[in-house]
Amino acid sequence: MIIDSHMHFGPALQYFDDPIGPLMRINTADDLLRVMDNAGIEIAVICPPRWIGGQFFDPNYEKANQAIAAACKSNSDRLIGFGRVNPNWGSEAVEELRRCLGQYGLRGVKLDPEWDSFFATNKGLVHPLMDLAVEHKVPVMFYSGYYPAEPALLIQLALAYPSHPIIMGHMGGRLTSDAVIAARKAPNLILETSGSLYSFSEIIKGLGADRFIFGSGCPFEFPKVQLEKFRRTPHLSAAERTKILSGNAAKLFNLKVPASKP
Amino acid sequence: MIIDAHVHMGPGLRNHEEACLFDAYTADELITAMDAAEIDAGIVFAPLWQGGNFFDPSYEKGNEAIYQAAKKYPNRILAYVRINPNFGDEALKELKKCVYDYKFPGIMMHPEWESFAANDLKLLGPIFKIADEQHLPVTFHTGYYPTCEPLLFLALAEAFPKVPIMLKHLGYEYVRDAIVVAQLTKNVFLETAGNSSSADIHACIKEAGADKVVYGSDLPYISPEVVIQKIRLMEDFSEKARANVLGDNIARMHNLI
Repeated sequence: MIIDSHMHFGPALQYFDDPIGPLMRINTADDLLRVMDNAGIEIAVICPPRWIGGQFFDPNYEKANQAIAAACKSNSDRLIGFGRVNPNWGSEAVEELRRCLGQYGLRGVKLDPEWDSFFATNKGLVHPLMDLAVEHKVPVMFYSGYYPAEPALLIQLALAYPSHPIIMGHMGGRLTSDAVIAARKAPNLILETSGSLYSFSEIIKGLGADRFIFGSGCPFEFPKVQLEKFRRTPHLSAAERTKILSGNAAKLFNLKVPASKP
Repeated sequence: MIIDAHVHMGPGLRNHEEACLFDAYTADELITAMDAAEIDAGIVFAPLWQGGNFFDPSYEKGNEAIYQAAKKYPNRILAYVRINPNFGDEALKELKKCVYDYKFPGIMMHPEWESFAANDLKLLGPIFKIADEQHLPVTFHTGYYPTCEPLLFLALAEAFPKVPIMLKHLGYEYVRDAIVVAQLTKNVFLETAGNSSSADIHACIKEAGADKVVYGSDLPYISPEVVIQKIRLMEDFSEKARANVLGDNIARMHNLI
């Protein structure tokens, strides 16, 4: 059983106008399921990709969230949808997130300080969104990596919501060491594995396998490559691998899944 | 003559008051600050918009405030229009209003904050066409990977060789890359705003030439006197070289001298 906790889905993928773009065509939910089947992923968390200007206009991710909701509705056994908003939009962002977690029934929040340009330390912008997530008991994932999305900026936020799970997407990207420091400071930070470029068995041993969830970042990364990277990570027990590939995420999303071999 | 190539003003500062050293919400406050630092004129544009009480994602209000300020102090303020290119037609409309109706003499963009890549010619082409036609310099925030490290600006500079392009903050930690880009092109200038160290500024003037470096402070986040002092103290450069950096290069760019 494999749960991929970080995939992207939505209309913006079709309009992506950047050489660092999607590696595979995912226009429909069927395309997505095919990619998942192909990589042996049973369940995936899907969130809107970043919005870039061009033909498609969606700065506060309303259209993207609708697409996520629709895909999840018809594939509720396979897909877990995250709503995304731009916190700078203030009350509009709060309203949209309320719609996502209420009306759409989405099961998590995705925020991206780098692309959507805010600091996770900005309480006025971020706390109202966190409060909604707490109210709906859903985890919040922050993109992490490039400025201003360094892992350091998530520490105080995580400490302000000590019993709420906060996922550090890409586990800090190149700032893996910073991700580990932040995770030690704030026990409710969960590291999503896709960012690490190097072997990270030492980090997993240090922080404990409970703190990691497998994610690919698809379609900006190949799920198969990310799985292979994880499989080749040495010194992990079968139990640790199962936790990271599915067990921890299953707990996070209250899934009832049979424990099986990874 | 001292011209500061990097000055912020306007209501957008309200959303990050704690970062400001002094008030620059109004034209009068700005002029008071400029007078105190003996700055003759400033290239003025809206500060980055972040959420809060003030809502202005496409900088219409920010640009309007600077337009009014420039009307009040036409000899002190060179108004640069700030736009978010991701807003497409809306951004072009705002640009055209500020250029054709308000007669703004320059353009400012921030690839990192506004989230676009500096080598995205599809997004920036229409904006640069107007800059080219109207002889407007364009000033960019630089210094962050992967949207605005200095080398990404090479494509723009080569595609529009007559448009002066200023790279703010000397490319931050990519200062050496910024020097290379300035050396490779005739139209790229390096601008000193922010926490550029004296050593970085010195290296830029020495390597890229005093006619390719322009003084800017990032007022009101930075004390302009400190930056001016850094340049004045570089006595191994001629009086004329320092005058070029402190204002004459910008004055020539805008046909003021």
